[in-house]
Amino acid sequence: MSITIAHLKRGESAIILHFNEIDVPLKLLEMGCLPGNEVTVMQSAPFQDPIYLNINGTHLAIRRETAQKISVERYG
Amino acid sequence: MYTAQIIVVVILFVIALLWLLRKYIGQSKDSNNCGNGDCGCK
Amino acid sequence: MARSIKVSLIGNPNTGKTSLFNRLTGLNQKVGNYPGITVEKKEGICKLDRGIKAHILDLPGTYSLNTTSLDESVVIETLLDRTSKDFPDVAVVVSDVENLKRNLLLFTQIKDLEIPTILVINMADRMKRKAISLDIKQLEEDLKTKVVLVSSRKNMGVEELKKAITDFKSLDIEPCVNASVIDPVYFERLRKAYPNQLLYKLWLVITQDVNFGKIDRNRDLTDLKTTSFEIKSEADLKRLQHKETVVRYQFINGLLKKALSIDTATAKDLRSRLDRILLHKIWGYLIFFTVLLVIFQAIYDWSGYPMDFIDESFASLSSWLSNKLPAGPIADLLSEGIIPGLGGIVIFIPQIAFLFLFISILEESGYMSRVVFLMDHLMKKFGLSGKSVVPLVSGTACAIPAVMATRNIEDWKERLITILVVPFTTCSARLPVYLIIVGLVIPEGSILGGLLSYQALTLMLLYLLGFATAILGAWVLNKILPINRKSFFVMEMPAYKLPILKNVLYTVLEKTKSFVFGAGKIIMAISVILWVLASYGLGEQYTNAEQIVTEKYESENLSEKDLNQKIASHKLEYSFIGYIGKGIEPVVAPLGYDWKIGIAIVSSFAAREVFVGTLATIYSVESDGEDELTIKNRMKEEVNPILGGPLFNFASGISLLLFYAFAMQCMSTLAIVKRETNSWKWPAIQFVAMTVIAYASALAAFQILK
Repeated sequence: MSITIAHLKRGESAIILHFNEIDVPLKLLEMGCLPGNEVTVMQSAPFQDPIYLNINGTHLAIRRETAQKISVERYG
Repeated sequence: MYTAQIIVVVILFVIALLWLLRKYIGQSKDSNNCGNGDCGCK
Repeated sequence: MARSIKVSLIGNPNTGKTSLFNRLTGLNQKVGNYPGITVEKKEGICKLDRGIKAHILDLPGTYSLNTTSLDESVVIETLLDRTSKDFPDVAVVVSDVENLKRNLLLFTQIKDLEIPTILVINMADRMKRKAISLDIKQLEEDLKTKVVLVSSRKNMGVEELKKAITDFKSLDIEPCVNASVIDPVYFERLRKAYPNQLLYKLWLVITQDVNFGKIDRNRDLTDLKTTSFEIKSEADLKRLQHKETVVRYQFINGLLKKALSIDTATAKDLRSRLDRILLHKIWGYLIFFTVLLVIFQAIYDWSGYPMDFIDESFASLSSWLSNKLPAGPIADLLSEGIIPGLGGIVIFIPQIAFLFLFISILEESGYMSRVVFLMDHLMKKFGLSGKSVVPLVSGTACAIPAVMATRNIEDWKERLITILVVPFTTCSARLPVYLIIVGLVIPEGSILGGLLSYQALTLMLLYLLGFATAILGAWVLNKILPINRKSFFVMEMPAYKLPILKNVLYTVLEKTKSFVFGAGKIIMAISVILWVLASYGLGEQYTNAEQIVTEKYESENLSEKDLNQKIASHKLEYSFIGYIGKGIEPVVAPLGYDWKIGIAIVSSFAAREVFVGTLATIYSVESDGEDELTIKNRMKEEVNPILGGPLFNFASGISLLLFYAFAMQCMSTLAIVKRETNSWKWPAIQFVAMTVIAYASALAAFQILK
């Protein structure tokens, strides 16, 4: 079973593996959310939604629903 | 003198009325799309 | 010979594009709208060497040329249409040194359009602190253009940029990324179908339809459907756009590996420390609440002093004029109609200025995004987005920019609900009505040891009421509107920045000016009309008023002053406006109002702030012109015609406050809602629902409290 961004804890980093284009807005890609890039969870709001990420040097926030659609691989 | 002043006032009244009517009713064709610009958007 | 160069400033949001614009143009700028759409258009002039002038256009911030909103589509339309008068001779792409990677995406797209493009790397003053080093030579070589390091904050590099603009002809226009690799066969066919068009431009025109319907398939592509050219499905096009983004990032990553180095150890700093506090699960919300509290205290308390001064100045100007000018209708029109009416608008200046001051500080500092982050989960439950917080907060200034600020909400249902409930937030036009009523009916005194007065507390409750109604309304709408939610939400969390004083002041100045001049014209017109209607009448009761009143009070032996007052009141009652007012009275009497307030409410449907001005005009027609009473004092003296006692008491005051809190009395907002939702249906529903709520709650309040 693969894990998604939503599984990561605060401070954890991972590499983005893949996602389905329909589930993710193009804007997110433009901001650097692409397979192969590093993602770090900076912080999350109460109820883990939304989630505050650092992807490829860009700081951005996405909702939990979207985070659950992006599968990642933890470091190490 | 008094009559002249009355005429000026009436003219002002008509101008004001027409201006308001045009602003609110004849709005569909204007090029200023900021509502009426009486807010900070213009 | 003087020449002029057309320059477009383009860049991601939060790159300091606007500061750079202010640096380049100073006060030489004008803000308007693009024809046909409500997108702000900022233009300015910058003087270059050798008498050359640069016409600078500040385009809306965008992350790429793949448009998802009206604002963004302006950028692409400007850049695609070579015949447009805004088409730039040179594009200046503004990027931020800390987000160079992401910023370069847009740059590479613009470069592909073969427009001479200068890359500005802004916030260069931060490089040292962030341990960032750049190989400018390498960047210039690979991006095939001029790169300028700038700090708009410290005013560094601006002269160099000006020089680069002057020499724009020497810039290379060769693209730096070959986009056609994403589907060479398709692109080759495209090129053959339109041999004299720029390939990347064709691609943009085709793909824009996928995301956003507004762009015409340009004149150049009108025959697209008639040729045998195969049109790809939306899903295919979207996949290709994703692929294009990946290709561009590959290029950028490769380049920055060579040209950029960041010592990540020193990069963690202010942002994470501040975020830890400001986004804290408890402190974060407490801080947000405190910030709101300070704003309301400032608007109510600190602006009180200049407001009193303005109120008194207008009252004395009025009486000075009526003494100095030769008596006659024109003098009366000025001293009783126009000046009191204008006073009713000028008096808002301190508050509007304060409000925009705070809002622009919150936006500039980067705090507003944190608020969005904190609130999203909660707002989602009510059918809103965290991004609805920005419209709801800026709705406290004016619903019009607030409705426009909903554009960056990705989900249509969330956006529509936000638009529909925004007018419930307490906009600045309600403020004068609130202030004057609160001042009249809420007692003095304070709680928390003098920290918060009852009056300020009432005002805060009114603001909270506005928000609460908006949220509740959203919840209801979310349940009843049959629209699916996609729940997309992407928001950049910008770095914290100390707001630049100059930028904040420009915003405050600009917004206050347009508010005063815009609303001033309406109020002027309305006060002329009202004064004429209030000063003239027909029929025996009006023309023989003096005789009738004198006879009526003959036995009471009134002083001449009191008698004149009675005559003026009698005349007003039988003037044109008196008849109209009496017609309205049965409708408003159950709410605790007399016909004069009725008139003020009706004229408020043009714009709420007219309320105070209308009452001022009516009362000054009624008074004999010599006494120098302020509006507030005049209102205090009014007597309820049916129940006796002061007209403005606690019950009628609360009733009025509630009416103004809920009623949709702003034609401009209705017009903007129509435009943003593209139908009359939504503004009509909004108008009816809000007016019904307003009337019902005002009625209930008065009947319970009286």
